[in-house]
Amino acid sequence: MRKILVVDDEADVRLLFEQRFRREIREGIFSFSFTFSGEEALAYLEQEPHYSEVVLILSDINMPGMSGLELLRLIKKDHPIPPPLVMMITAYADAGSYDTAMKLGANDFLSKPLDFATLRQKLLLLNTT
Amino acid sequence: MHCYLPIKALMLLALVCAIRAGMAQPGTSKAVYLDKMPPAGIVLDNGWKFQAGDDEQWARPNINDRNWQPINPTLPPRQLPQVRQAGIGWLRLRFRVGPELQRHALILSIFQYAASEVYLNGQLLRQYGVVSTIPVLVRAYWPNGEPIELPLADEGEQVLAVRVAYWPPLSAFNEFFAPTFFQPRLNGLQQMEQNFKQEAKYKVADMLLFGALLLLSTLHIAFYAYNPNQQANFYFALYTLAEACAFFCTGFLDDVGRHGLRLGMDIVSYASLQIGSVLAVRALYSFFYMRVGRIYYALWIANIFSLLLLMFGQGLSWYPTVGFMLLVTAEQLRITLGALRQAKRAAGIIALGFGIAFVLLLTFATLSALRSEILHQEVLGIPLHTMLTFSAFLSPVLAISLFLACRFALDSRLLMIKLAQVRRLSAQATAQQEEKQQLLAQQNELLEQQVQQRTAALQQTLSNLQATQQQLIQSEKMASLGELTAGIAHEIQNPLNFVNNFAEVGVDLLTELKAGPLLSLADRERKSAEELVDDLSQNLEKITYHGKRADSIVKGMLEHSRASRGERQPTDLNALADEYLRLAYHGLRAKHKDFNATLTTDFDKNLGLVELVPQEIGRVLLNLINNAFYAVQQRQRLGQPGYRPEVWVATKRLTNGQVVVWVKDNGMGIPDVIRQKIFHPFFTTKPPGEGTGLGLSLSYDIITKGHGGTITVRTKPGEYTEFAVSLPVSQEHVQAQTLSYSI
Repeated sequence: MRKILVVDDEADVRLLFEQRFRREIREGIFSFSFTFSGEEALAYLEQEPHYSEVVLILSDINMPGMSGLELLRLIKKDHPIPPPLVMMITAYADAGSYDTAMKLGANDFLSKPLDFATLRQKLLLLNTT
Repeated sequence: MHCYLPIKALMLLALVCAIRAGMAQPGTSKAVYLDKMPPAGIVLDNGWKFQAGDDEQWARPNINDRNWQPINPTLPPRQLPQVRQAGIGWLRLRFRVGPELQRHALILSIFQYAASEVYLNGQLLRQYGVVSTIPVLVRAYWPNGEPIELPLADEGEQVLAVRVAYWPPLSAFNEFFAPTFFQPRLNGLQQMEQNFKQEAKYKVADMLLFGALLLLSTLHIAFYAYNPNQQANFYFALYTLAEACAFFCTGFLDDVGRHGLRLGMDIVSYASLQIGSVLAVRALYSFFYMRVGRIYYALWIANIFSLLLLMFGQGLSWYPTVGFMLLVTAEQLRITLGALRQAKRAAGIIALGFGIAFVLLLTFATLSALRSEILHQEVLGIPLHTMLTFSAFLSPVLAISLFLACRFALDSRLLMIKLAQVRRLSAQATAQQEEKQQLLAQQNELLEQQVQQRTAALQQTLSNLQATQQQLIQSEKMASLGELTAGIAHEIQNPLNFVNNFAEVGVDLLTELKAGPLLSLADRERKSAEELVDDLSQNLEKITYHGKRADSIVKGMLEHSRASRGERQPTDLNALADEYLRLAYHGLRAKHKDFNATLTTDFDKNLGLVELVPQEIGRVLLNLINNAFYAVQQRQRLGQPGYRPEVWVATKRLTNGQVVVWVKDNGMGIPDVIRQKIFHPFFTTKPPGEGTGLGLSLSYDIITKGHGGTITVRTKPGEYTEFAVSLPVSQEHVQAQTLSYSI
């Protein structure tokens, strides 16, 4: 079972993900953890069992406090081995933030509104590897 | 003026000379016998006896006068000391008249510088002046030879007795002023007539000279008054006035009986003569513009000195005057000759005047010295001496007057010429002035026109500026509106995502519900539950549908805020426009099969490549062309007869480095109220669902912000709409454009 950490300041994201992926969760393919800020995400990852469990981090870029890009930078810096996959999600799908995210080592770049079908494909692809 | 003296004086002088000659004859105590009347008359200067004292008996003819002293009373008083010592005395003359003379009327004339009572044969004939034993009371009188008829006793000896008194003031003066003491003359009628005639001629000559000189004086005073710069006129006027005065005094001298006054007039005549001659010298100085020097002042001193000598110098006769006149003449000669040498203007006239006078006087002097009888001959009834002297006196005066008149005439002619010149010049000046004024007026007009042109240009510029300013404000508004729109869109996007997502998930869940748990229900309950689930599913689908609709609006709004996604690249704008025109047309034809429109393109072959973002400009063109098609479609629906929808697309490269793309249609046109809002976001005239109201707003942003160009619209409601998009050809122009806007 792959654990996926979703970082978004919108609380309803949790409900949406749990409903969208209810079948996968029910079948034990994925398990989701949710934090509502970059700081919270980092704190979560500090806890020993969590870090090793999490294989993918889905993070919004625009958040109050620490931005998604900052979070990306810190994760890539503090946790080099094994490298967690990080996918960035943003409503502002502009070239600037895309370039920055890629430079910081993001594994993928998704734009809002999230196309859950595509996301599911990507996650399932992740699961097989 | 040259050695000139009043005529009368000259004649008197001649008289004295004659008397002296007569005195040479030896006197006798016998009675004087007069048998013939000579042509010149008889001067009774012979046979007189004198007795000092006063006795009335001495008038009687028969008293004894043998012891009386012989005397010639016609001598000057100075030569008769016995008379002066006596103060008063008696003269007696015994004479006989021959038979020839007795037949004629005899007339006695007395000339005297004394007071006298004349008795003939004891009978008082005349009393001249006041004879008194007291010298102070004596009043001398000049009878001027008035005719006295002699009532002779029939025969024998006649006795002329004269009670005579000496006039004391005479002793102070030069004897020249009193050439005789007592001079009786006997004349016939013929002689009297002759004498009167002569007297009249002298007087006429004097008066003529006086009048002429006075006239000249007045004339030249007038000249001087008119032109005070010509001082010569002034001095000449004074000179002629003095001469006139001299001739006046001389002319009326013999008409004055009282000797005091007569003596005064006599002296005045000489003084005037001399002063006049000095003034003549002064006038000459002025004529020839010579400096007044020592000689002139010396002449004045000599003048005073010679006058004093003339009046009081004893035995000098008139030589002081003669000497002085010689002096003055010499100076006048010097001045004139000097002027002649320097060839001064009209000096010849004066020289000629002097020359004539000199020659005439020389002739006169020569004749009087050698052949004086010739002088008395008459030409045309005028004695030669009068003619000579008259002309001699007048010629220099006339010459000078002529000279001055000449100068005056010359000056005035010169003035006339100068006046003409001045008039011509002033006319020229006036003409030039007018010309200048005209030129000035023309220039003024030109300037006015230029000012008006400039003002108009400025007005144009001002209105352009105002329009630009309006545009700037508008674009500023639009920019902020765009940003606001983007912000709003972004904020709406997230909740909208949730709405959509949850709606979708809801549908999934309901599908799951229908497929799973719902099947376990009893049929009847399951049926009604399925109906409810279907309704819910339908609602959720509606939510999704409208959510998507909102999403597409939000996406459109977000395009505003999105930075340029494409790269600028040199693009064939003609090809781009053509491509999008076809795309739009076919897109529309796909939806509305019955739609048809004429497409006209007019592409500038020299347009060249333009640096732009093809996707964005394509989007703008598509927008505009779609709008054009929409407009003609709308108008077509009105069913106007003969209406033919048409859309034009044209391009052109301007000289200022811009390219323009026109998109024109003959559709509905845009009303004024709407035209103001067409570039505002969300403004649309299309029904809901057909347009977002963001097309033109986005186009505006792309053209102005993205490419530094402009987009404008011209329209006439019901006829046409024309959009013009102008773009700078290259990036440099964009920067320049942006810069110029920022200023």
